[in-house]
Amino acid sequence: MELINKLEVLADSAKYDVSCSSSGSSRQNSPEGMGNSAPSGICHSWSDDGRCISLLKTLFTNSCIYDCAYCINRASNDRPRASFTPRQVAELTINFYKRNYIEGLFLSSGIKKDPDYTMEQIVETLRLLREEYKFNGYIHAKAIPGSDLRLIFEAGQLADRISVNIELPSRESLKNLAPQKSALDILNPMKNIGSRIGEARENRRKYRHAEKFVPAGQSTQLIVGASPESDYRIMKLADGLYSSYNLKRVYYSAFMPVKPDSRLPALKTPPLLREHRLYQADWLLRFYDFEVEELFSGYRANLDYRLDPKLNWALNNLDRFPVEINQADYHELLRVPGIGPRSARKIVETRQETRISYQNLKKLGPVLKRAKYFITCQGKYRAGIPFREDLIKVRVREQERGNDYQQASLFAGVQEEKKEGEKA
Amino acid sequence: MLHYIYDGSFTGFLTLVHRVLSEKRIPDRISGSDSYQPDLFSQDVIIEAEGEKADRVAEAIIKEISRKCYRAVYRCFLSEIDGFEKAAVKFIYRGFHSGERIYQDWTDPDAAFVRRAEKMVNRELHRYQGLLRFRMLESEILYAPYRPEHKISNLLAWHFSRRLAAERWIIHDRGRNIAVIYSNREWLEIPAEELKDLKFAGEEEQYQKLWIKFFESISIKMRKNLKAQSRFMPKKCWEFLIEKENNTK
Repeated sequence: MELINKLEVLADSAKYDVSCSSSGSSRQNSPEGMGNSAPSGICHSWSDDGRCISLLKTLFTNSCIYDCAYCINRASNDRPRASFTPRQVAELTINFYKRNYIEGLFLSSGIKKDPDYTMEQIVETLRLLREEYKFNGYIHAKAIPGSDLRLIFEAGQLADRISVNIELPSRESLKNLAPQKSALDILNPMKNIGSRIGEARENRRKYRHAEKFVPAGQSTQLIVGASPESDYRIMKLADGLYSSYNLKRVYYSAFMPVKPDSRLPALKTPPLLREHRLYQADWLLRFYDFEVEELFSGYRANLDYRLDPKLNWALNNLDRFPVEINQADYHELLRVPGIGPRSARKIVETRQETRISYQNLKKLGPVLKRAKYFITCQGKYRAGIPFREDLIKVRVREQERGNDYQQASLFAGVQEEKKEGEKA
Repeated sequence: MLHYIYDGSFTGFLTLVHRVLSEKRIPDRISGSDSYQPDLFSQDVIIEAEGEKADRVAEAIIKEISRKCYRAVYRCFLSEIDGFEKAAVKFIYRGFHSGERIYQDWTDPDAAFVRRAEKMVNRELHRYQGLLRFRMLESEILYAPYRPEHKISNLLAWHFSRRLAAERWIIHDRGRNIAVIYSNREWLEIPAEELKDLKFAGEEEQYQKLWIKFFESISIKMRKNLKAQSRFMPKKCWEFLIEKENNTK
């Protein structure tokens, strides 16, 4: 098969992996080498689905011995199969990188022969790139569940990020939809990578030249909407992964039916709004000091998709508002809808110099359209309505409907596309 | 009306600042020589760039105000947005009185101008760190044409001097017709007329095809969202973008 056809097949097979992040690493170039990585990450293009392209995202092979129900590459799916050689992947990476098409490589794979064989191929590709081509750009590699931990660690020494896909939010679902994969084979490497990352970080604090291990951290991905788990259960899982496995990111991927299967729900469109709300909730856990329980008040099992989870929380906890901009501490400010970590910090900094007037508050960056219902500034409440629960709820919901209309248009293209697809 | 005219270079601009500081007078108008239009009523003063004076001003800004402010001034200079010279001059002038606080002063219009210009430059710089596309020439030099709003070639060159340290490359600002040439860990700016006979290497077409194929394959049809795509990657950047350039013709 020609190289270009291989690339077509293998990029097409890899596109359901969500992560495109190239941030968090600051690998330096060597005198004769090529590449470095920017701590902020760099996007190099945006594909027609509006997702950023930062890495050459491809599978090593899309042949697979497993038959997981949700996966486009499942063994029983009739589609063209291809495999790269390690050198082909390395050459492509170098030549794309040189031309500034990409920030680096994201290498995943179907499982050919057995997990160890597949992981060896991945490690070999990474080794070629780092050692022979002296490539110092960003590399994200998949750890293949069930492969030898030593191989996975070897990859971890060469890559910037490693990820093991947890795939589904519970053991039962995994058993049901991916019967050949065991939860243990997934969780075990995650746990070990996590503790090794912790050790490496500790060592580097003591010795500057201690070895780097997965400097951009570990991530994982799970499919939302292919199995019956509630949002609460999903967020609990994510929270556990962040705190006990040293994970940097959990990615959520709206389920897209690839082949009808009696074990899977028959969805017309992927649940993109749900995916969006989960990401918002995930952000609240990581950057806003929220606890999972707070997002599911009144024993709700799922998020309220009509509103973003932070606004929803605030409306359900109006007794904690309004807060005074000139007095509330950082954490209280962070809870105000429309105020993020950056504007909260600016408010606290500015306050040390001067009292903040409503005019100046505008310049500090909060989204006042939303925040005004939840704050007072120099004692004055300026939402234009009295601070009463019923009034605020009506007003905010009305306003957000206008907003949601815009947001809905974000997801609108999806349905049109689907209709075309159905005709074909 | 006092009108200062300088040569349009950063050294020239800093020399001008030196003059302003020593005469303690802010001119009514400043022009780089390109945009110079004689005016009957104004008192025109031509300022020759002087490296030594410029260096002294640069050091003083860093020492007396802050490195952050120096950086902001340089980027404001590169922004070339209307009125950047005067805003930057007033910003520095005030900075020598109030110190580094000037940068955080949200009430000062010149500080706001400089910060905004800096932000615009940084944003475009970050965008082109991703969207610049090199083409391999027969001579094994990588060649990247682009058309930025601000004068960011030098900043981009710094970025690529780390990244593509062992390569030889050219970044060509097609709007200003200035090229930055890099080889052997050094780069310099030349007028683009000196670039001649640019022939692509034999393998170039193949890699462009591979990239376009990848670009098409990686998109998920069920999630098509062209609006989001052009929000992140506005059409004005498509002219030299391998994966998009054919859509603009």
